Amino acid sequence: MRKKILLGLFVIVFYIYFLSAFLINNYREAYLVNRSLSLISSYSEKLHESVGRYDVGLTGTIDVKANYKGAHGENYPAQYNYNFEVSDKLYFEDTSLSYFDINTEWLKVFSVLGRLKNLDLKKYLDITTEKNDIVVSYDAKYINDILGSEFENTYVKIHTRGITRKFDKIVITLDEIVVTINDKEIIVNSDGNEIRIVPNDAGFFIAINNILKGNIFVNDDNCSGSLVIGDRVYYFEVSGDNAIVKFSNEASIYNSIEMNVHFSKLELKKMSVSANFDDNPIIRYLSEARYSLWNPKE
Amino acid sequence: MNKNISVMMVIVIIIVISVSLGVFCFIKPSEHFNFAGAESRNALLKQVSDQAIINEKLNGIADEKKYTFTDAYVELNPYKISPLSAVIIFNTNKDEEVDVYINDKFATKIQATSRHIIPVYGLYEDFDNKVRLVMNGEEKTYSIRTKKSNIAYPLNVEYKQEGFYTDELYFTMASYKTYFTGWDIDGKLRFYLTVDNRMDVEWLPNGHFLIGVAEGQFAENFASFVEMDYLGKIYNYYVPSNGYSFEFQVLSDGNYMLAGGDKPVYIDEQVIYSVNKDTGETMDILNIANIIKSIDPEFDGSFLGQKAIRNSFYYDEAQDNLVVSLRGWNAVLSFSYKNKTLNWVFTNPENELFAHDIWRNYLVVSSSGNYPLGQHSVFITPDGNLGLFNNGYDRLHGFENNGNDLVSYYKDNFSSADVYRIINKQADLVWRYDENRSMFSHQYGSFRELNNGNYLIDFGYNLKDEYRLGESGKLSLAEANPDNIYATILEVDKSQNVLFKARSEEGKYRAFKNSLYAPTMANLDVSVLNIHNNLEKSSLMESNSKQINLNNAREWIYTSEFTRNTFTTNYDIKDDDAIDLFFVTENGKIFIFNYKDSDTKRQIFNVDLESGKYALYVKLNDLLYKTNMVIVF
Repeated sequence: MRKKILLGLFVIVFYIYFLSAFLINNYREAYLVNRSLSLISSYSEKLHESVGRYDVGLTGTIDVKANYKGAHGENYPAQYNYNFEVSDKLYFEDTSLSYFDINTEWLKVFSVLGRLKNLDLKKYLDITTEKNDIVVSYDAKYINDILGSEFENTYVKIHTRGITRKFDKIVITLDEIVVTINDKEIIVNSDGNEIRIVPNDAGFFIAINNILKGNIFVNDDNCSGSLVIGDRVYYFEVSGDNAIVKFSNEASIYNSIEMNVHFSKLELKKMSVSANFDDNPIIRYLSEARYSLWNPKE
Repeated sequence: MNKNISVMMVIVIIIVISVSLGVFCFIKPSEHFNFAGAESRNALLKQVSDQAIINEKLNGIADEKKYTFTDAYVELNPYKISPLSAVIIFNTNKDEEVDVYINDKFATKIQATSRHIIPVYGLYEDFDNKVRLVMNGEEKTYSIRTKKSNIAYPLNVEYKQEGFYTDELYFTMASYKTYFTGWDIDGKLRFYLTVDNRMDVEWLPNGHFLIGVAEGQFAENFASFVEMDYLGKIYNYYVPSNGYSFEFQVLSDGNYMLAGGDKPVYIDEQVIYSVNKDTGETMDILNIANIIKSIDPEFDGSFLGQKAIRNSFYYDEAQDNLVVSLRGWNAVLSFSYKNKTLNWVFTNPENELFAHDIWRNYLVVSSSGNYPLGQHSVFITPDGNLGLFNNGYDRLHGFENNGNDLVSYYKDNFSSADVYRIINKQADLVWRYDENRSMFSHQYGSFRELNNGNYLIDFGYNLKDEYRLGESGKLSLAEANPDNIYATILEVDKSQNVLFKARSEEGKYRAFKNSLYAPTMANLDVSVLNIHNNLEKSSLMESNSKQINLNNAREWIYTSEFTRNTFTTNYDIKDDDAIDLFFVTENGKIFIFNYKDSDTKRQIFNVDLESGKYALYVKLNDLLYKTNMVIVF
């Protein structure tokens, strides 16, 4: 009798165990897809809060205070005033209407990140399974319309681990751009470049190719941050129609450079290319703080 | 048998349930810091901590006794910071003297010993130097090949009087690029350091010199200085109680007098004080601010700290006359160091800082109408006169204080080396050299009387003529950008004959003249390395990783340099930032140092922890950051 009871208990335990695994496995796919899409949506929302919430103007004015280095480290400020425009490049125009420009190719990545929130991730075409991974396919046209891009291949792969297929990470493929997302961070890889974004309760941490590292703080009334490139620190603060940008450390003949930016609608004349390009404090500072953030496409 | 099967089945069930629970309830172990993978730094200043390892190595080589006179150990730049120096090590059966010739010139006689550690100084750069040793009638020549220095600004000799010769080097100090360098009479580089040590250099009777260490410096106020030789070997490392800036003097009793502040580096009041050379302990202190305020309580307090620009002093011990140059005041002050009282003030009588009537008792009147303007490098000559490098630049009303910045405004200004006789508060200009009023060095500059009775003058930051003639040139820009300046170094006799003249395209803060070798000297004692930390120990709070959650610490993205006395970072520390430094042991004990509150200034400190490894965290305004650095105490 006792033998039968024990055998019965044994069978029941094993039955419960395998039935559970079977049921969990079947509902797992739906759970993982929903969980993953929620995770992406929450990150998109957070990125939009920091990157996209300000209607950062494409034109405006910049007042530059260039702090010359004194003999014993003192600051001797000199003032410069420019109009600026962000279009295909970043243009600065001085009071004589001559201008200079800075290439800003890598800023385009952030404009894409800021638009992620607008994607409805439930508008997928298909869900399939590859071994233990779930593949969610999207219509490339839909993606491109929202992000302003030209991707051909657009799909999301949800990776799991262990025999219970616990959620591991999400890998989003947009042609050569691969975005890996887990509960902790977002990693974007493209042509040998890597952007790492780690959301936290104050905003997020960002690293580009381990050359740039930054902390972005998202506050109620402003967004601010420090970006460290090499051994130099660049600080910014955006609120409403204004921004402050500061190059904090010594470079060239300056202790630091502070810029007050005001966004407004205006048109640059760009009458002639500046003859004193190298003397401009922004260029002079950046030319010594030389860095290459982004590996070009081969 | 049935019982055994039952037991086995129960065991299997337990195992299955346990494994299942384990899979579902997988918990990652918490690890707040990876000590093994982190960058390790010594809490002692690197320049000093590196020396102990090198000393041990060289001592070991000398103790091995495997090198002989004809087969010696030769190493170029053994201390890694003086590329034109070397060491030769060998042993002999009995004590022997050794004569040293460097590139066919006699250098020195090394005193008798059987354990030879011979310092070699003054090698030529990019050259196959020949060092010939002569011992007991026997000779051996060693070749030491040096690399090119790539020193950014050479010294160009423009003139040497016929027949004028010296074996001594002209040393220069520049805080822009080249720091401390030594050049021979032909303008050849014979010495340089690859570390940022500056501003003043003071030679000791034993041939070593004192020099400041720039680690943790702010506005060229330093936390520490070293006694060093031309190999770059450190004998004594001093962290004095009141910091150090711009000037030392070796007193007749062998102790040191230095300029510093009420606290190290972040100065609110200027002090001159003396320290014991064997311990670094403060012996006596003169607080300039206190003396000024005791005379004139309404003296402009903003000029008592950094703004004073206390750039030199000289103490005539026999007369108890301490003269101090305060460039920011356009004034030279004389004190009784023993009594802590003011003797006189040498400045233009119109100087508004001394407008109150009380100052009439102290002001010196110049018979020639010449007064110090933005001066440097005060000293007392052997016959009791006051020497100074007179920049001829009204620093009190200069562009730095909203005065005129255009170079053209100063087109008639000139700099000079002046000697005044001051008796009963009357100053007579008894000697002046001004290179026909052709040079205007609005900053930098030095002037000293040499042992041979000549004067060494450094017009340290002359504006180039074409720049002076321009309409738009600015002094502030010249200060930041050396393209339009040059330095001129002259050795001049008392009859104003120029014996030596050289030019550099880099601003030179000071110039010195000294020899590399004494006629005889002892072997190197590589075992000596003394550390004198005389700062009051900083208080630390204790906690642990159970009370403070370290797991959510963010990455500290800024640079950070930590020694037990200094914390520097490229994070722009704001006045209202609050910063704590956390030192965390491997078993989670935390020691917290309050570096700065929101209403206090940055500081030089003395964090003293037990020997061991500590992970460094930074708490900045309530957010905790991990530096990925381990500090080894």
